[in-house]
Amino acid sequence: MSINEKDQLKLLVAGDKKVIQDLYVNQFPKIRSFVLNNNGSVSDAEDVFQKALMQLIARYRVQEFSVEGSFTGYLYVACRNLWRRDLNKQKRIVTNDELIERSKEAEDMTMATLEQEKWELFQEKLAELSDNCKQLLQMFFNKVPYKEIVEKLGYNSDNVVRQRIFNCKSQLTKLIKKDSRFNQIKEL
Amino acid sequence: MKDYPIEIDDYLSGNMSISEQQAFEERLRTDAALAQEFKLQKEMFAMYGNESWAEGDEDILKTDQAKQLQSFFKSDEASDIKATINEVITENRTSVNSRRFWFIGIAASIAVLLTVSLFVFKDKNYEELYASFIHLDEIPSLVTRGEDAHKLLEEAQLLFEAQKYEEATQSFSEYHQKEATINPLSYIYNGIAYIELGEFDRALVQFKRLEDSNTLQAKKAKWYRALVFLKQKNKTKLKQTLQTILDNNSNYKYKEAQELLDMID
Repeated sequence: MSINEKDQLKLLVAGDKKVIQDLYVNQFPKIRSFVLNNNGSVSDAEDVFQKALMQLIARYRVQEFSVEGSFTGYLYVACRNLWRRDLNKQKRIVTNDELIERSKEAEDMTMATLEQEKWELFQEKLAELSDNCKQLLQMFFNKVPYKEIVEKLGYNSDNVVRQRIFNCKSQLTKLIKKDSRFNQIKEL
Repeated sequence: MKDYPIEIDDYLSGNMSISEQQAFEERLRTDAALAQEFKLQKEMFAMYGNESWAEGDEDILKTDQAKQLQSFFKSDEASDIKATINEVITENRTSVNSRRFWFIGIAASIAVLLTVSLFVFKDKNYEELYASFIHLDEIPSLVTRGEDAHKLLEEAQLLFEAQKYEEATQSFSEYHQKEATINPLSYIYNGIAYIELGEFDRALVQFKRLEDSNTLQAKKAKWYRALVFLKQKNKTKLKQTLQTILDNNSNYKYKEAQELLDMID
């Protein structure tokens, strides 16, 4: 993160309007096109933008952290995940509930923040694997059939791919389980 | 190295026959250790795939970190910052939106022409206003890719798109009766279908359900209710409804509500 971005993050955490404005003008268009391309509307995009900023501020307040890489890239990822989360919830919402009141909203924002942290932990662990494993797992998790993986990556058979994926995923599982952050969540 | 049963992969990736699946599900019910492993592997699918999202267990709300986060979100300071962010969004909305018009240039210029002509000729044709504000293209599709696609809904949407509104409302009603969990967008589609059929009271019922749905879509109810009154040419109720949208500038379609109000007055 550049010095400039560090300052930006500090100002944002203090609720500085000018920084929010800069972020809106420069970052929001990207976020909006992501949401529009994924079954959302402009107001959904605005909602996600607002929530992502609040999430970032809350996390920083609770525990100061430094963002690796760029802060604006981080914001984009947070928005994307919040929208994926919203879409996922939308699919199975029950009718006739009370309107969300303030404490319910705080609870939901907290869940979203913790889920985002967990997501980051998972991504971090995936990044530690070999390139070959990363490629295989990415296809596997996006439900590419074994046959197609065999063809694309030049393996001998379905079973070789299946075993190879299993090895990669076992490594990944171990890395996740070993991390103290994961155990903290699990021990509850 | 091999610390979880490979069958989990076979199950999750759909590489099992039906009888193998049933046997595996039976094992999941009886073998707690297997179920524990399965939970993590399934979570990995959601975390790393592009389609869904892994929702956390609400138990994590009991951690200290969660409590701190929650108390921040509940604080007055957090609501102040949130208000500032919403202010920025409202103030800058037009400047960013103008870029979008490059992409939808033709649609935009038609809308502008329509607006201009309305101003010039003081034409208060409610039908035309309805047509220019309804924006069917803005309503997200009911047909989602992947596992949750729902046959009845798909059918209803196709009927709606073919403008077979009578049949569409029948399909939607059937869906609403049969399902315990309802996709809130179906209320919007069904409501508009009723508007098209001239059954305004029924349309209002749909938007009331939308409002009560406690979903992301609920905030859109006021706007659609306004459109019912627009189509019905009920100026008094239309004005009242638009006013409720204008109460708060973060409301859905705040800007459009203002425009529409200016045009009919």
